[in-house]
Amino acid sequence: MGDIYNILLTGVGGQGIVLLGNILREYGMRFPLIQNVVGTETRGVSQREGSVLATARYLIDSKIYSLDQNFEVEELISPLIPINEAHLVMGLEPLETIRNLRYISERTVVIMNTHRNYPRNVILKAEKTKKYPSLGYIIEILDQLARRTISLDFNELAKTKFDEAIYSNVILLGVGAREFQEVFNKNLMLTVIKDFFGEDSLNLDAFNLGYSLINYD
Amino acid sequence: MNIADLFQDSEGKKVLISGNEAFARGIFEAGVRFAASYPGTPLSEVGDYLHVFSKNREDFTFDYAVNEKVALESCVGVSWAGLRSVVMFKHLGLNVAADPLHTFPYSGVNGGMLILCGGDPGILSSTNAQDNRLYALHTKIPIIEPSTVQECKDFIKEGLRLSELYKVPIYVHVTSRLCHSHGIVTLGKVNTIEKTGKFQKNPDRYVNTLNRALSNQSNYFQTIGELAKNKKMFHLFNKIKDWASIKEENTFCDVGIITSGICYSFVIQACRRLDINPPILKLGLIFPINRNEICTFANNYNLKKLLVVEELEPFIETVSKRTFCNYCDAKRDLEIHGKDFIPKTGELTTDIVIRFLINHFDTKREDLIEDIELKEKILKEILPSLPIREPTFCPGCQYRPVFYSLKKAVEKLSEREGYEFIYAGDIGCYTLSESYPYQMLDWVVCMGAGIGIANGMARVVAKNQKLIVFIGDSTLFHTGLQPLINAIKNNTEMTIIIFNNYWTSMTGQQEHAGTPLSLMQGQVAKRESQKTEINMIKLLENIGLEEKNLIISGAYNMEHLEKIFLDTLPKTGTKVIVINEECAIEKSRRLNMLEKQESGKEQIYYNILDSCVKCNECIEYLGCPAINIEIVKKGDEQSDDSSKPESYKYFINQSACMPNICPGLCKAVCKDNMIKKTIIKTNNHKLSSSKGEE
Repeated sequence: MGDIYNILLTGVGGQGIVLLGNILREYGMRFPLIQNVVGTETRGVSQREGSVLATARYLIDSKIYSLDQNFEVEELISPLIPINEAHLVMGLEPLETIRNLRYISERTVVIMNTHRNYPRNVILKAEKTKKYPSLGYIIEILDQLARRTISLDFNELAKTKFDEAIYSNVILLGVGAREFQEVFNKNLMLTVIKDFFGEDSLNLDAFNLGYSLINYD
Repeated sequence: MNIADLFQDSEGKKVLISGNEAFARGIFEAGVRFAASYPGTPLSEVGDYLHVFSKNREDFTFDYAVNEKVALESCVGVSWAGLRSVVMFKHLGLNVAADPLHTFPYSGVNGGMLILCGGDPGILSSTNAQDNRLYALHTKIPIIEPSTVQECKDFIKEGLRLSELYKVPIYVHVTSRLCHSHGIVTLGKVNTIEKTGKFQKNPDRYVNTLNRALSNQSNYFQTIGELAKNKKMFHLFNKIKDWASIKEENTFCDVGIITSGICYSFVIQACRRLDINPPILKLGLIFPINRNEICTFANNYNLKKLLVVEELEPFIETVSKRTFCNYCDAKRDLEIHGKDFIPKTGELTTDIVIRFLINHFDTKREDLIEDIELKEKILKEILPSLPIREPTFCPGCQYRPVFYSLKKAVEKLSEREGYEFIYAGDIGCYTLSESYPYQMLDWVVCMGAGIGIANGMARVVAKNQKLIVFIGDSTLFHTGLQPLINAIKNNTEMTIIIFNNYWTSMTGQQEHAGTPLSLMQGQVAKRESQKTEINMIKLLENIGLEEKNLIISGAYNMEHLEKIFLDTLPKTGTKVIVINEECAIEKSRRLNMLEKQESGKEQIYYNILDSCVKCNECIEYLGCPAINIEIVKKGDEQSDDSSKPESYKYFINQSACMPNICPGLCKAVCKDNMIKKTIIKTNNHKLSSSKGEE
């Protein structure tokens, strides 16, 4: 018995979406209460500023995450998340987060980096009618649909703390892990990050920063 | 998973790998002697893994063949010599290989042979979505299709056994979604590979002429007929999903489902959401289909309705309808549904399957449909207003200055001489010239069709219409040489620009026939299999192209390029301009590896000054994606409007910029000198000197 826990990662090529997907699936592989892991990612445009999407899906033992449905281990094989069924959405870019509204519903926690990456055709005069939507509009829609939305300029935070914006994705991962403590064991996640980036990687500090970022008292 | 671990013995170990890794692992476990490929999404990575694996192995050979036809034929050769072989390419490649594909099965195989072919129903990275299963109707080649990452590995092994049992090639059908999925796989036993094969002559079997071909054809058809009737094979590859509750309650058994491949996972997920548990027949061997066994499935569950869930064409549905209606093997009628609801285009999703199933089951989950419909209404309102992200050339790409200069030259010539230019495209990174800011592309059909179609059009269009054809080096060797020879033979009027970047770049920088050996040695240790490089320039010189009509240039000197275009485009006859410049991404990787060995290095930065007047030359004409905008903060208040020029400024994203490859194209095109170059010399991690340059 168990339930499926769905994570969606979205952003722009070069932000480390594929890497985060790998970290999350590797975590799922090692966490004893997760019985099966699948996932997928869009490919081909990651070098070229395109929209990128990755998924990680866990089949979780009902002991910690009980719901009414019974799944057999071998049945969790679809790598795609059905409509409305994401539990955690990590949006590394606002436009790409709202583009994947399909998966966001009242069961979803959205953690969004508000740092915007403008598509070429918005800057050029190519698409006069299609503007980059305002941050206010994006957050308003997410607030309406999602259970909870946490939005922050993670690039700014990463630059302030670590001098480089590239750590923004792992800080965001830390926030997500804290939000779903029942699924993410902090120490195991740190071990996985260590295995990906090395003993003394700043990514460990970045994860810890994200983990303690939000005050839950 | 790192590539070396993928090819360790470690039987019984559970690992998390992708579908493509699982295929490579399956090929390793099965003891395959030879594999060949022409790279193409979604299967490019399988070849890349095998290429690394083949290094320093005496008993395994991998070949990046010149095209899919050659790849397939090489594998036939290995199989006829008695050893196992696997050929892999994308769905479109099967069209190129279709000629031998229709004949060699008459002779059959000796060593097991698989044709591993990746479909792309969503057209995520192709020019069409053809359903290759329909090739089975022509060729009678049996098709197997895995549903999970575990099966991606297992079906390679089982498929080779099936191939050897019946002495026929086996087609492995897979779609991009499964290739790029990750799942847990239990590794299996690794077979040893036999190194040397032996070809036993048998003209009656291998020389397909007239009577011999006729008799081989009849034997082959008979073999396929026998395979279709084999009950054991049916149950080895196909699975009937028997929910625990079916046996006890028998509630919904008047409706059954047939499906295959990744669609099975959508069906299971939809059934779970709808709280229904119909019997599901998951086909792994989808051609030939054992009609008796399908009847047994329908009869055992006393089905009145059969639902077929598959992507693209109604392949399984048609066979099912034949079974139950025309042939009447089932001795009764059965209602069959599928493509009367499920679209024939695009990838399937669980949502579509839920909507399909709810029409045929008595389920109390109407709320689910309401939720979906409500959400789709919201999506319809919001999504169309969002700007899309068009793919473009990578930062530093050597194609950008070529299109920039070409556009300038073309604008001048059009104005001066009244020419109208037509741009013939082909398959490769240069296809991206269709997007902003270049928009120089009038057609893309298939590999080689740029010069091919120009061959006809150039002969009939008005004199002021001038054809410019784009083609890359790998595509030229693939199927571009034949139309090129045709054009030169007739001196047909066109200007062909060959983008010679030394690699098959769009699929991940694989080597091809013309890749210089010097680039493959040393620093990129994995690339050592090629023995000779084909010299493209010598080749062009020797196929009858006049010397004055063959122009060779680098990519980054834009003034020089513009002059070449201005001189060449108005000339008559077939002209070829070769742009010799290595793929920037691959070159950067090589240089980075070299630099690591050196102690001192130079770092270059480009910055846009705050006094930039936003003339837009760099962003609107050059279009480098390393240049972007950021909103200027005014005090605490942050403006949200990106449409007013005063509220944003341009900046160069240093993590995207490629100053070690690109000589500063943005600086070169900036008329007002607003882009500054800074060189910092570092020596053993110590800043020794820094120098600014305007």
